[in-house]
Order: sequence, then structure tokens, then C-alpha cells
Amino acid sequence: MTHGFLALNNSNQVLVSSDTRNLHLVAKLSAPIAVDYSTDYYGGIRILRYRVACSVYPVPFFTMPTADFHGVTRITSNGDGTWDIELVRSGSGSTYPEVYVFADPRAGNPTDTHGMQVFRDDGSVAFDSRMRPLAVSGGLPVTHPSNPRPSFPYGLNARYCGSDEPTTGGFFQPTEYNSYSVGGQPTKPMFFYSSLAQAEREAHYSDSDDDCLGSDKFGVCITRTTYDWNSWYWAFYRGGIKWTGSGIQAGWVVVKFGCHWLYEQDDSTLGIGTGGGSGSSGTWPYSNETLNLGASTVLIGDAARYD
Amino acid sequence: MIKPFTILDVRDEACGGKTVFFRVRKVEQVSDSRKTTQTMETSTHVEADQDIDAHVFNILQQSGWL
Repeated sequence: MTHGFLALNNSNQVLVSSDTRNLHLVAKLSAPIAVDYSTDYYGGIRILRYRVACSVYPVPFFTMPTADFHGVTRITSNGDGTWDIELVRSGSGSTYPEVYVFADPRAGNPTDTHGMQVFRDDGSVAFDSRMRPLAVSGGLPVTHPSNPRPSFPYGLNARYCGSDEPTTGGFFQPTEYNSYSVGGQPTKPMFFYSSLAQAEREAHYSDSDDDCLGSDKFGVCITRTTYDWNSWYWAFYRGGIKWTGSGIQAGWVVVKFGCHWLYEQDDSTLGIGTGGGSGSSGTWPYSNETLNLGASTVLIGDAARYD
Repeated sequence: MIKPFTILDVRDEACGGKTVFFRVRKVEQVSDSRKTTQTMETSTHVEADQDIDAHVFNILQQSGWL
């Protein structure tokens, strides 16, 4: 840099520069506008939607008021100057995070007449002291365990996806996480974490009944009916983080689950088919995979500064 | 010894362990004219220092499949 403004801290890290744009507070969202999905099974699932008016891409930080796993899974533009922020949470309570939305100073409209502004060489604002700049107090990379759960589900009903949610939810509930110590954080921390890790797990059960309906005088089965039932139970996971008060756990949250079943019947006489029927219904599963297990960045700030 | 289960796939995980996909089948002659077959395909995590066959055998035995 030969021209412009640059402010460094004692560690030679850039605080303010006319070459970059600092993030500033746009809005504090105290509650979601909608709970798009809710169940207490599968470890608990809450899919929360927050909405913010912002003229540029928003960067959300969220608090974690409960001991559950959280993660931002989607940020979408509504095309009208507002953005929807989707945040998933495990657990069964109705206490939801507060979301603090930051963006570069082009999103702001300060009215104070005193302060300091730093401009980029294109004339846009890089820093504006009137707009409550973001201060980051900590950060770390986290990785998620390759399996949301080590044990396998057994004993589910093979016929017509007959096992209920309390049963299947117990078998697919995520239990694994990696732990990280984080010291010296504020009393009311807020976190930036975009959920990238994904996993799918499924189990296939089948029952088959082979009925001999008629035999000849030699005991050879001449009329036979075979019934086949198949059910595929599955759950889809996204990565999530939990604040323990002294550290972070990187684990998993179930965001979707389902089951697909197939029934077939086959009749034969003397080995010749005489009729049959079949039926099929349900949602088709993904296949056992874990994706995007590389390290994700968690940033930490003091939410109380922006209350 | 003939294994009462089939290992379908073994995937190495970043943590050093393995995810083992397997199938187990149980056949029962219910009566002279009727036979039932139950099949399960699923997965389990095996630590790096564990024997895969022994681990799968143990969990199937504990769960009543064997």
C-alpha cells in the first residue's frame, strides 16, 4: 500500500484498512420469524428462519442460549432487499438464539454528524465509526467426527416402514462430537459458523415369507407364494457447534429423515408364475456418505457490545 | 468357520477408524410349508486397532441377530 489508511494492533494484525471493508452491525434479530420444522425426536430438530433487511450480503453471528448444537445452513436473498437466514438447532426447547447481522458499511445509513470514515480508492466506505464495527474476540478451526453415531440401528420394522419416529429417532440420534477448549471469552458470546459438513446414514431391512400352498403326493411343493417386504430408513445430518461455557463441541444435527418401502408378491405353480403384485411408496434415501469434513472456521465476538 | 454375515464395504475415516457396511441374514423354518427370511444391511464404526470381523460378530450377537 502506498496510499490510504492502515491501523494495526500490537500483533501487527490489520484493524482498519482502506484496502478492505470492515463489517458493521446492521441489525439484531431477537427471534426467528418462523420455525419451519420442529420435532423432539432424532435428538431434537428446530429449523429456524430469521429475516433481515440488508443491501449487501449479510454475515450472521448467533448466540447459543441452550446446550444444543447450532449452525447456519443457508442464507438466501428474497430479491426485495431482505435476506432469510436459516439456522438449525438440536434439542427440544423453545429458547432460540439471537442473531446479530453484520455487513460491510455499504449496508448502513448512519445519521450522526461526527466520527471517522475510511474510504477505499473506489470512493466506497471501508470503515465508519458511527456504525458499530464488528470486534472479534476469538476464533478457531473445528472439524466434525466422520460418523454422527458409531452404533447401527437394529430391529426396525421391514414392513411398510412400520417403525415409528420415537423408535427410529432413537437409533439415528447423533451422539459424536469433537471438543475444543476456548478460554477468555465474554459473558455473552456470539458465534459465526457456517455449517458445511454433511452426512447421511441409512439401514435396510427386509422380510421374506415363502409359503408352500400345495404339495404333490411326493411332498414336492407345486404351488408357492413368496412375499417380500423391504424398508430403507435414513437420516440426513448437518454439522453443528455447541458452546459449553469453556469450549466448543463440533457435532451433528439431524435436518431430514424418512423411510422408503417396497412390497412384492410372487405366485407360482410348478415353477410357472401365475400372478403377483407389488407396491411402493415413501421417499428415496441418499447413500451412506459424509461430505465436507474439512475444517470449518468459528469466529467469536461479544454480543453484549451490540445490545 | 463360515461367517454368518457379509462385509459389503469398508471405508477408511479421517480419524483412523473404519466405517464397515455389512449384511446379515436370518432364516427360520416356521412350519413344514413356510419359511421366513430376515435381512438387515447397515453400518458400524470400528476403531483402528479392532478386528472388523470380531467387532461385527459381537454386535450382532449382542443385538440378537446371531
